[in-house]
Amino acid sequence: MIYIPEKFEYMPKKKIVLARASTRYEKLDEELIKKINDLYLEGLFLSSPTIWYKTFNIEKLPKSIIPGKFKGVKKMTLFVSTLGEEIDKKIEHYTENGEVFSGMILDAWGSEALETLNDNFDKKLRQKYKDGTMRFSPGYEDVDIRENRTIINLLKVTKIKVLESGIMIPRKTTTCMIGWW
Amino acid sequence: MNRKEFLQMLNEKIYFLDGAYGTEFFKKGFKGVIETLNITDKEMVFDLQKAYVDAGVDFLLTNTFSANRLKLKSLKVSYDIKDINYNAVKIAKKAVGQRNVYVLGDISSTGFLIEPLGELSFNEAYDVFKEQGEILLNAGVDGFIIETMSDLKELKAAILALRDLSQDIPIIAQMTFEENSKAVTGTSVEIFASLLNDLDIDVIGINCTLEPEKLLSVFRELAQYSKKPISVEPNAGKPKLQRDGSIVYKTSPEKFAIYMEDFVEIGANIVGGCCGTSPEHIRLMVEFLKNRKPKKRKIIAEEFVSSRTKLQKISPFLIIGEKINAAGKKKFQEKIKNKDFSKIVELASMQEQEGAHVLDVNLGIEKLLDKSHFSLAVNTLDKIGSLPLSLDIQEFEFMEEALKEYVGRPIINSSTAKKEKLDNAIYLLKRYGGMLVLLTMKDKIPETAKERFEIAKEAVEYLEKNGIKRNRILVDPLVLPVGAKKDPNVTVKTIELLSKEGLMTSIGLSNLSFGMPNREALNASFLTLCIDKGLNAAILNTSEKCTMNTIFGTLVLKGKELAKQEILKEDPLVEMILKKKEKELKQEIERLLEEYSPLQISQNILSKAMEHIGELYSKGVIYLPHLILAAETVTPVFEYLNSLLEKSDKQKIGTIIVATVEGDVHDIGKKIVATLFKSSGFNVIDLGKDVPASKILEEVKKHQPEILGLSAMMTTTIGRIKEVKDLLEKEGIKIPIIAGGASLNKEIAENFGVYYAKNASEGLKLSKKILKR
Repeated sequence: MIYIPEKFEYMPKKKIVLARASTRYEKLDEELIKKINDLYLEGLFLSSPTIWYKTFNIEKLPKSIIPGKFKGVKKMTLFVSTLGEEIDKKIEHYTENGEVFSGMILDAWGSEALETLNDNFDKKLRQKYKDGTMRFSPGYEDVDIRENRTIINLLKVTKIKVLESGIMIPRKTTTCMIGWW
Repeated sequence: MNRKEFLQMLNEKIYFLDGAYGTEFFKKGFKGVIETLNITDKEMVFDLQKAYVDAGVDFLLTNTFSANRLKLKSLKVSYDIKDINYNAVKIAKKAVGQRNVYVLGDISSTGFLIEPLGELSFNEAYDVFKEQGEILLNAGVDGFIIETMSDLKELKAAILALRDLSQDIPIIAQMTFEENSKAVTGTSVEIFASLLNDLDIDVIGINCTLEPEKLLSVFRELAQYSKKPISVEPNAGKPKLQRDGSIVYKTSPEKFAIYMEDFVEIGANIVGGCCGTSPEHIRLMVEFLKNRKPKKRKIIAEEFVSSRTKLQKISPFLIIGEKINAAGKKKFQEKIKNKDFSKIVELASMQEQEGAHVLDVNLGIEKLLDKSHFSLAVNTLDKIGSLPLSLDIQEFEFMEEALKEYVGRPIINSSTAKKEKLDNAIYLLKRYGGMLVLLTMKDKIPETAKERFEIAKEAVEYLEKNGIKRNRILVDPLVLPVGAKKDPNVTVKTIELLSKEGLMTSIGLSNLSFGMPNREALNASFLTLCIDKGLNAAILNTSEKCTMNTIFGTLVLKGKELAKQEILKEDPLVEMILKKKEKELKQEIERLLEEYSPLQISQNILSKAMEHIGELYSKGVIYLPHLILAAETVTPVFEYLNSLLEKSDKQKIGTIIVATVEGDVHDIGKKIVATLFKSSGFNVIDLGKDVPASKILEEVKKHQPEILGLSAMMTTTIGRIKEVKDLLEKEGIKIPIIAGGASLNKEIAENFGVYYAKNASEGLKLSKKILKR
């Protein structure tokens, strides 16, 4: 299934975007705020966020993608979220043209926007399924990052490319899972 | 919701106000006075308010922005004011339904300037606000919001009126500022905040005029100076002209929401939108910022006094000029009695030049005077843009009158420590704001420092118990004449004791040397001793150079320094006009007439001086009161010069017709234009407001002016400018049209094929360029 979020669902707190870019909100003057807000707005309009998701009975899933800490769960929701490829292109454009500041902020914004989107989608799922595990992604603990490919295949997502290393293109893409008891 | 609950709520999270009403109704095709919809199309109002409620607001405003008696009258609305306001509350309540949303009665300007800037009296404004407030309150509003005020005095009238209706209803009070953080009347954000910190309201805010991007730095100042929760409602960008002739505000909901986060980061407690914002703007903002907690702000702890346009820090030392004091001066007293305030104006200007920070005003024997003397004196000084005042008034009734008229945060000089006097002072300080000079005595002056200290301590505790913080008090340890064998060391010792207690002190210095030779030396030496012990302020003779230098020297030695005063040094002619030195100006003109013709003086000298004054206004060096005063000063001079002109010369003076277009009743801006043109030697024909294109055509044909000036303030009326232009063109009349007004900009004006002037002085400059003068 596909979910297209509303804008506010992937609007991150500026303070966290700035922290990711190693700066503090209190250090900003009006000029810098304007620059950062322009980049925020640019990110918002360049993004075409999409979530593919499906809830599986646990026995239908390959063991390699089930984290050890999900022991005892009956169902598991897998989802893939992305901001699309345009934002990648813009970040690349900035960094290649010597606009490193803009590239850095937009990159930080993208990461936080995706995180905000995942948080909000996570909340939606929990409203439906109630009692679940924490959200988990390949690359952590006992699930290999290359399992991204397995998840993409399970969800039949064609718009996301998974490299051999497990890295996904577009870059602002994540795969997530939540187990339900 | 009472005030306590309201303030408690604001500690917990960020709250949301709704967005625009006018621009939303206009989008739906309504053209007219939006408050009449409360009678004629309740559904339309309900639908918009329901959309705001659905968007997630916490506070919904009633559709009553212009629903005060004066504004409705000038908008030619014949519906009953009671019905308009009562219905507005009922519609809002219906839109709220069962949701946890509060309804705020929306109140704004009467559209008239209050004395001395305009002709409306403070009391009339007060009554107008009280009347509207009472209807809204009886209809069941949960609180009030006063918004888009540009005159601090009018805001004060509204606050007092609403607070008098209920001691327990929340009030949000907002003013509107330009990009330079000043209102068009010259009041800065700091001045606004320092007065409203004292007045009996709950939230201080800023709205309208600017888009979020531009409003941010203005709001940052409020965040630093306001000791109360703060609110903000920016516009959604600058107005832009659409192809179909309609006006839109271009800031997208996304951009608006992103910037509103910055306002929250700066410390806003309540956020909403003004002109151009829609339910979509508000919805996105709410979704993005809901459940955020208010930020702690770093608030400037220092105390300030202010006039309408001048702010003065108390620390490190406050110099209060003593010269406006008619006590014991027969001629001065006589002038005041006859309401001739020229001497006061002269002394105000002199003391400012000499380095005073505040002016003490004592009108002498009060038995000879009535209330009007005090209001006139205060208004006269306000009009010349004077320094902050220390109101040295004995009679309670006169003090209240002066405080009512005063614009800014004054010093109330003074109260003894007797309970009934302190109760009076508490009432005045709470109602009108300001600082108090507290005398260290009850019925008679105590002999010892310890006694004086104890009296002060007890009185301060009483004031604090009654809601007046000690940082609003300047204790006067009392200076007695050495000539009367009084020991000055008692005063010095009292200052020392009070300073150790953390209390600020102020003395009346000159009393020390009364009746003595070489007074200046005594005063200066004594002042050094007092400053050394911690004295914070003194009422003194600013002409005493030695005393003034002593302040500077002692402070430097104590590691402090007086802030430099920015004293406007201008061309003498400009000075004379700005300071209303009518006598000197007349003499100067007579002198010039010996060398130049009346036309030369009129067009080359006086007109240039006014052009320069206009530029000072544009740059924010002087403000609206100064500009109006200058125009008033110079107009009779032009009339005099014109009376000397030959007929042929008379024709050389340009004529301009000015008018506010049909459907628009905003008059103030256009009046300023007319005043400035008149004071620059133009022959001005003012057609007034709400003037149909056909009438303008008729008058243009009749007077054949060189320039036509058109004003339109509202997004719904700026299209009339083009209508006038097209009509004149159709009739074969080619005349340069200069247009201006809040909703207009260069792009729109060019689109209409007319010139654009941002303000009066730009209009004047442009006219001279067009006429090649």
